[in-house]
Amino acid sequence: MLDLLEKIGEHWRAVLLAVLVHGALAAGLLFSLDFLQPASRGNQGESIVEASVMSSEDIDAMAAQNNAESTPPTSQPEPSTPPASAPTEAAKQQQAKREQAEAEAQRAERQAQAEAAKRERAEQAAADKARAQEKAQAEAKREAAEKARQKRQAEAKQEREAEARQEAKAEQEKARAAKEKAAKEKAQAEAQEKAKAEQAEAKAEKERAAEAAEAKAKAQKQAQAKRQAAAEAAAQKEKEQAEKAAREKAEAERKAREQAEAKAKAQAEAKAKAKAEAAAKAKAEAQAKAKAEAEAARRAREEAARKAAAQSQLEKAMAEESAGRQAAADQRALAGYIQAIRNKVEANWIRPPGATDVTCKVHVKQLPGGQVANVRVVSSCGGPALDRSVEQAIYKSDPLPSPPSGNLFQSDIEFTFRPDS
Amino acid sequence: MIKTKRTSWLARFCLIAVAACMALPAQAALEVDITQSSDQAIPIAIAPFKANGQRLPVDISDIASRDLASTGLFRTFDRANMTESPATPEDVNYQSWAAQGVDNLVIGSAARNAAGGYRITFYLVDVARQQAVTSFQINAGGNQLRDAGHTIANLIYERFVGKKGYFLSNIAYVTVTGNTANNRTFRLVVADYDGSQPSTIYSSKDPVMSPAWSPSGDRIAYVAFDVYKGTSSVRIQNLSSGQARTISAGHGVNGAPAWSPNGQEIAFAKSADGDTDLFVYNLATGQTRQLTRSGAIDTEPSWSPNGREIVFTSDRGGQPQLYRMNAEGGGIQRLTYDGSSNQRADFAPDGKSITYVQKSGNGFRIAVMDLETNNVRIVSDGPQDDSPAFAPNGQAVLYARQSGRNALSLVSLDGNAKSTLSQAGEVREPAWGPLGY
Repeated sequence: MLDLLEKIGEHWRAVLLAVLVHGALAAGLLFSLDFLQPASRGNQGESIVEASVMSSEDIDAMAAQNNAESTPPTSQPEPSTPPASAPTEAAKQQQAKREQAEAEAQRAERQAQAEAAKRERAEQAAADKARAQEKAQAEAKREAAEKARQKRQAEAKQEREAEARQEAKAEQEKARAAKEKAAKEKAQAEAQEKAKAEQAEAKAEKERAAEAAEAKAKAQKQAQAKRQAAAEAAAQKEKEQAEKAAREKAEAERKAREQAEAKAKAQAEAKAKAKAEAAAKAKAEAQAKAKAEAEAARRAREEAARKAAAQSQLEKAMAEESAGRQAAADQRALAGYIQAIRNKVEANWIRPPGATDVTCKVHVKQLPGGQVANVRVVSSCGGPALDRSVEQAIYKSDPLPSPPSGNLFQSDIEFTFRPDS
Repeated sequence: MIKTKRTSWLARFCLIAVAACMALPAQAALEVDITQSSDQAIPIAIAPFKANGQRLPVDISDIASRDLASTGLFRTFDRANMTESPATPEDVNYQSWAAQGVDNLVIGSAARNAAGGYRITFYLVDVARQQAVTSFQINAGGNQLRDAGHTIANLIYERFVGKKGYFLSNIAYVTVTGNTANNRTFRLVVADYDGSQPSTIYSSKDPVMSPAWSPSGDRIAYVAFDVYKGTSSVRIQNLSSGQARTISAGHGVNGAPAWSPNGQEIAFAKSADGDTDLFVYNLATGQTRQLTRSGAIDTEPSWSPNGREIVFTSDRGGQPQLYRMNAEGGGIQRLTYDGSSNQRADFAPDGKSITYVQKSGNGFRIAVMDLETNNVRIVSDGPQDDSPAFAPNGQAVLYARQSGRNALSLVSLDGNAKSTLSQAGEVREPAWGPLGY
């Protein structure tokens, strides 16, 4: 879990991007669905027809068009038959009236019939028209739905592709970051080790340092070459992985496509073709992208290596400087050590009175703890009492002061007593 | 490729080798210059010597301890602070001594020898090294234990200072007792250097002056007066036999005798022709020759150790000052210019310096002049110091202090260490004899 968090933290950019892309896609999907919904609803009801599409002129126009186009056979017979039997039972006087009335009624009837027919026709036409419209609308709707489906599919595909790319990218980035980190750590460790080694060789000469630097540069070059090779191999591997991932994605897509084909055979081939093309394109793109990224990663690594080299160079320079400082410090420490010995021996040397022109050399061997192991007067100080006095001064100074650091210790000390010079 | 690799390794190795070689000389030996020394005295403890667990009749370790302490060069330890008095180095608790700051320890014991005296064995132990540096054995007669103590001091002194100790030497001086002319007694006394074991070799109601030791220490020359006759005489007295011989006598001045280094001649002052000049008396031939012929007073001669020079006091410049000349009386040069007067010179045993009395605004004080550099060092406090005499090893000056309580004082050559030799009565004109061994 922590590991995952760490990884997320490490590749937060990728994660953020992925989240954003996903969010964008989701938003897009939601938006498109929302947009298409009315159309699908309209597919079932007539509200659209009733609402506003038709005006009476339109209907008339449409009816006229229909009448002109085809004679309606169903309008005349059925409604005309029941009214025809009623006028036979009326008086002759009234017959004319009746007839007249009948005629009028017939006329009216006819007129009404005509009107009804007309209305019927209009209704028929309107219905036809509505049907046609309905049909057209349904067709349109179907088409729209189909389109939406296609679009959705395409979008899904795109999304999947994007995801694949994203994942590949994320993976690459991760790998690259890991690689970078490893390289950086390695470079750092190397630099540290180098610095340490150089410090250990604190008293190293300039030539030696230069030699070491040369060797180091060489080693670095080699290391860099090695790193580069490794990076390239890694890039290759990454590429392969990306390809594989892409292939896998394509396979999945292909399967999905096949399922889709089973449902929609008509679009299958074209879609398959398009999808294959798209997949190929995506693959090519992924490859190109992977390649570009690998290149970028390589450049970044090179940059990092250069930086590391510069850093190690700086550290080396600092180490050299510190070595110089160390030498100076050693010199000071040595002077202090000698002064400490001198002070102790001088405090313990009681010079016999009356002795003049005293000068002598005394060789002393000391043990690591400063214990005086041997005192040898190399050249007499001018008499046995003087020799004894310097010997005793040294023996009384046992143990001799310890050096501030062990490397300053020397078992042999040559004392020169010259109080009169 | 392999070749370049190999050469690179070779180059690397060479570099390392060169670096190592350059680092080596520093490893050879640490070089330390010592230009200062401690001005402290040498710490030394002399533990009591015992003979078969018994105390010796004379505390020889105490004598040796006092001898060393009187020089100012040693810091001795009070016996009361000593926790042990081991007889051999094996018995020494070094930590205990080291904790007390004792660098050097003298331990020893005495045993009766066949001659009825004592055989004394002692060790000088270096506490820091925790070992005996040297051991000595001396035989002393039953009545020579005091000298045995001085001998121990001499041996230690020489080991540490590099010069012979003067602890067996004798001094001579004049004491005056009595207040009136009638009961006054002048005595010529010879004693150990520290004033102990004094013995009078000559006494008189009349003044006795200017004792001088013969180089061998067997005779003393001095000046005796005869107030009744109004004469003075320069006498030489043999210390062992007591026999005396007068080399110059008469009215006027016969005084200030000084032995030549070979002990065969005595220079002295004698008044002649109305003033005092220097003469030399040859002991072998009995002849006297005149050294100086000035119209001024020339007196108080001192012979240089090599016998070629004489330093004397003369007022030929108006005031008493010191002059030097060759032993034949020629080449006179004035030596002193400081102070209103400078007189009573005594040559150091090494001939490189003289000590004398300088009169200045601070009174009479003892001065030491380096004859090579003419540097003068005042070593006494005054105001009435007189008659300085070099110790036979040249490391101290003995003089008479006549202010306050009369006494003889000993001062080290650097003026730092002083000790007083207490004597009864008025003490004058000390003279320091030879080393005595």
